Amino acid sequence: MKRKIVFTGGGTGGHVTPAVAISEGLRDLYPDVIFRYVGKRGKVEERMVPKEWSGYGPLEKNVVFVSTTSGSLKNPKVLFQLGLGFVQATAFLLRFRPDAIVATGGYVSAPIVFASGILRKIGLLKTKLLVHEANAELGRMNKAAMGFADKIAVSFPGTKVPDSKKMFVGYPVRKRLVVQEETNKETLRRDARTSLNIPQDAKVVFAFGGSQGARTINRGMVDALPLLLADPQVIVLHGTGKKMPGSAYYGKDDVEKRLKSIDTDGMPQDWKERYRYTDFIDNMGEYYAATDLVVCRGGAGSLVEVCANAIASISIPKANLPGDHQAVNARVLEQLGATKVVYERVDIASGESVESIEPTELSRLIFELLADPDRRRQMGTLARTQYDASTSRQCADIVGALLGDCEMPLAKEEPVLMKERVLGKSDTQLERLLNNVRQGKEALSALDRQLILYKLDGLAAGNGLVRPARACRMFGIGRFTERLDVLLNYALNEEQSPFTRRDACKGLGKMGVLNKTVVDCLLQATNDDYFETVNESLYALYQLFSTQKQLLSDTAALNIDISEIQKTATQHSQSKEFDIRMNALGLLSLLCSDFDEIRDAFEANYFHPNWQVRKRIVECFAEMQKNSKIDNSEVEDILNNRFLQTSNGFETHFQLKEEIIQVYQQESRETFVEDLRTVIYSEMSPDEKTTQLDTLTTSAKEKGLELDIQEVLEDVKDSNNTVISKEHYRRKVSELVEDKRALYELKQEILSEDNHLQYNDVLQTIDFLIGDEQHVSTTR
Amino acid sequence: MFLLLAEALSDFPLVNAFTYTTTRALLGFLTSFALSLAFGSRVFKWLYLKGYKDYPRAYGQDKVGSKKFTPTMGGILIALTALGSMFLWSDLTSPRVWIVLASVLVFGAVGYLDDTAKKVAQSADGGISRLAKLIPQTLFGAFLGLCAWFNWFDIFPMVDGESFGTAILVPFYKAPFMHLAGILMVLFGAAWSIGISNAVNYTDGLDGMLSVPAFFCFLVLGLYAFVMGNANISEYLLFPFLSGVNELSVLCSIFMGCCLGFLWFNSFPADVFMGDFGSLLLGGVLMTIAFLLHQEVILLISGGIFLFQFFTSAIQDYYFFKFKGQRYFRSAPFHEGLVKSYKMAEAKIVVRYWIVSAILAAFCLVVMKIR
Repeated sequence: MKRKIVFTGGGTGGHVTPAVAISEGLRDLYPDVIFRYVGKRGKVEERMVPKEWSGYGPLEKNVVFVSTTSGSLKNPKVLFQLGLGFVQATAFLLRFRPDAIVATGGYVSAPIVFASGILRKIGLLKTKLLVHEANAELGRMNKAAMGFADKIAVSFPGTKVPDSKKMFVGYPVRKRLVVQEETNKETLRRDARTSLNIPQDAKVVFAFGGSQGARTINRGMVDALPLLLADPQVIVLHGTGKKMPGSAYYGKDDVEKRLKSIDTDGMPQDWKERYRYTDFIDNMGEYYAATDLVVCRGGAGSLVEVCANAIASISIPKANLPGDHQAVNARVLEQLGATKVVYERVDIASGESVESIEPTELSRLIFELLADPDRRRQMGTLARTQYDASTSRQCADIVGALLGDCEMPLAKEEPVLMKERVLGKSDTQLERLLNNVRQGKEALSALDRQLILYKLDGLAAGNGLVRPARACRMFGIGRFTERLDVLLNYALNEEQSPFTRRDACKGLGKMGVLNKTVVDCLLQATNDDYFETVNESLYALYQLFSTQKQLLSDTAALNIDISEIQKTATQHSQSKEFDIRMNALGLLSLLCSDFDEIRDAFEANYFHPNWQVRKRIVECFAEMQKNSKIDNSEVEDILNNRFLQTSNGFETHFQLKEEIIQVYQQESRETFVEDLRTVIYSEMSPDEKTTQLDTLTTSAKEKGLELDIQEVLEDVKDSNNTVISKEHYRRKVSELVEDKRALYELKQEILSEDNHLQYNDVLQTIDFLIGDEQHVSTTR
Repeated sequence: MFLLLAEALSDFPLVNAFTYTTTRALLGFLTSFALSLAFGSRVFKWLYLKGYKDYPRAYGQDKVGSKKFTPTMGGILIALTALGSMFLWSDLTSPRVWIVLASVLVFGAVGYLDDTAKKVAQSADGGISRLAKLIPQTLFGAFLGLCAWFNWFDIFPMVDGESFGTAILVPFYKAPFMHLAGILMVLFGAAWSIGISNAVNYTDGLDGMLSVPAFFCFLVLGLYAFVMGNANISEYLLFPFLSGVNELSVLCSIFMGCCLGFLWFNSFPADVFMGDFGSLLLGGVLMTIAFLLHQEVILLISGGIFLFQFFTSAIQDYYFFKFKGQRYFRSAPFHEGLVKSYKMAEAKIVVRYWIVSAILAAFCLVVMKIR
């Protein structure tokens, strides 16, 4: 009985290629199988599939088209097209009656997947469905298809799929692109280099960005040429990408333009022989064989082909994709030691709006890898372990097992990976993380920091009213001082939305860098049209100056003109917005050396109708009293005789509610102590115990339990336990967050303990809090 | 009901007094007020046990000042006492009364669905969608417009040779300001319905903030209804005379009683919230009565508070989109800004709103004489 298999998936090459590879496996399993491919007219599959299946003789004409499109279902046009596609798919399925469907994702597969799912539910069809996901995270379409699928084959370890349907198989690669196991790599390289006219002792770098080319890679490579070609042995092969219909980017053109703009006179004479670029490469296999190092994107397809050919690689994932899927793919491989990742970014301060990479960084990394053949060999081997030549056949076997023709193959074992704390997280989650880090509740590794920076760069470069603003805030919260120039730019930039300007000022305040440029920028921001921006800039100035202890001498050293600030603040203390007045007055009281200077500004506000302004004044008095800028008798005199004390602001305090809350807390406290007891006396390892304790404490804090951990731990009474000591230290750290001196002393105390290695993460937190100077500097 | 009784027994001397509109209005007011007080606590307890509690938007720690778990959908008290009192004191044969009853049912139903959805979702954001609320409002408004156009039930008769149904009346002028062609009246009805219901809905933000302005609006409309329904006074004050319209003044005073009765419990700190049921209900009734009298402009003035809330929200949205990321007001609706940013005490804000609405109401009444 001839088996009938339908393939669907497309829109882009990344969905078609694995489908074709699986078809090869199925061809091996069922020699007389009948295929159909269901795609969308005008998309990649229309051209690609007949070409790929051309060797199959009478199967050539087996591409079927349905109507489908991407977009929100709320759009009537989208709804109509999908509805039409659904009807077409149903008709096709009922006529063709396939045994199985293999879907690789993309909106193109939607009609068939849903049609088959529904037909199965009502019993009209018995087709099995295998879904294959090429990336480390399920795409939107495949997520929707999860319910209908019989099995979901994943390419990367760690993909989130229910265990009952999950099969970790890897990424299926088409046969003609693969280096066969038995062949000697050396021989292949020799032959390839001869064929491509490359000297045998050359150091070859091969960069490509897929059939369309990648702008970042194209431009980065060209910019790096003078540095790369300075070494006479280096040869650069570059696949620039050709102009695809419907795409605005023309890779080869871009590269040629860029070549004209760099300084070719400084380059060695033979650079034109050693730098070879072409728009489309048919014989990728040869290129792979000839090269020492590959530079590519983070798409699953490219990465897997590189792995299959066991080459060391540098991956540059495309930024800001949904779920950061290219970055996640690349990160997974980097964790396994198979690739080095470089993150592209938009350098906002330079006014560019296009992602790029620093040519110096790229060339440094390339040279580093070229100089170390052992490392490259290791990377290649590790890469190769990720590639499994039998993946296509495995997928075919899964289909076969679903049809009852053979046994279900055993899934490969998945290596365990670190959980991603940054990639794939939403903006609000990141902001929460940064806030926790700032308060000392969590720690960031150097890599985490780099990744957050990468994500924030994407946010900051985005359009929209809110995202760049959020990025500015987060730059400040996380103290990413290397992006100070971005904040300075945004705070005054007319083209940014007012929210962004406001949050840029906020970020500057939180970042804590005090120098003349920052102060000038903030001063200028006080002239902004939007009242919230002015407010935030004044507050930022206040924050920055309040962290300086020896105010006057520091500012003189930094060449900051205090009188300028005082003038602006005095002006704003007459503002019609009450919160601007509050901040202006606060700033004045901070900067003055004696109350006499600011008496007038203050007097004008003793009877201000809004009680919050007057509250701020009283707070200022308290601060000034501490710094002896005003004497107590004068304060008393003002408050008693010349100050409006009646206020409109009070907090409602329901005594009944208070009693009720105390009862809740008592219950929660008891539960908490019980849980704590269970954890500490359990059989888990100290690390696991600490994680559990962390979760417990956080959830207790979220519920608003006012707990003194030490007291609670005493209840549990186990002073020898390491876990308790760690919690004790952690508690101390969060109390001492702002006090660097005390933190330093605490660090010494911990280091003096015998077994201080187990407190490593606490130490890391302390290091981070103590200051930028001390923590590991990340990207340049 | 008592009307029928009184008419039957009209031979007895004092009983005749019960047929007068004014008597019935006064007694209606007292009844609804008394009923609210009598049954208030029981109703709230019932609501709370049924799960109609306030679930505040921000989840987080319990605060000693929070209003979490206050019984909501107290509007049901308003509805029940109003209906009860209407049954007793109003003329149930009058088509105008039926229309107002219909509005109570329609808007009540929408409000009920919304509040129940919120209860089920256990969150303030769980109510039914905006569209679901808009559709019944639009339809009812269109229905009112059609009544006006075709003079169904004879509630929009010809006055002085002109069609009353299609007229728009403004203060200071005796003659109608303009006439709206039939279909426009329908559209106007729909727009009017949506506008007022939502404006009133926005005003229900703080304890007691809606009850008093609503009270004043009912007062004003009640007096206008009385004037327009009394042959002598309407001639003297140069108002169009519509026979039977003074029934509406009875209804207005009944609702006045309900509002005050509700305020008894709802003033700061509130024992109960009226929920979307209450605010949509009151909005619906106000807009219906104003439409039946064609004194829309008067409602707009005496209900200036509602307009103010509506426009501050609209302006905030407009400004945000036009200027790409700026706020004009600190928060919308306006009272939110006062509470959050200026931190004015809640009771003060509410009373100031009352003061403004009292002034506006007084203005409307004075204007009755200046024509």
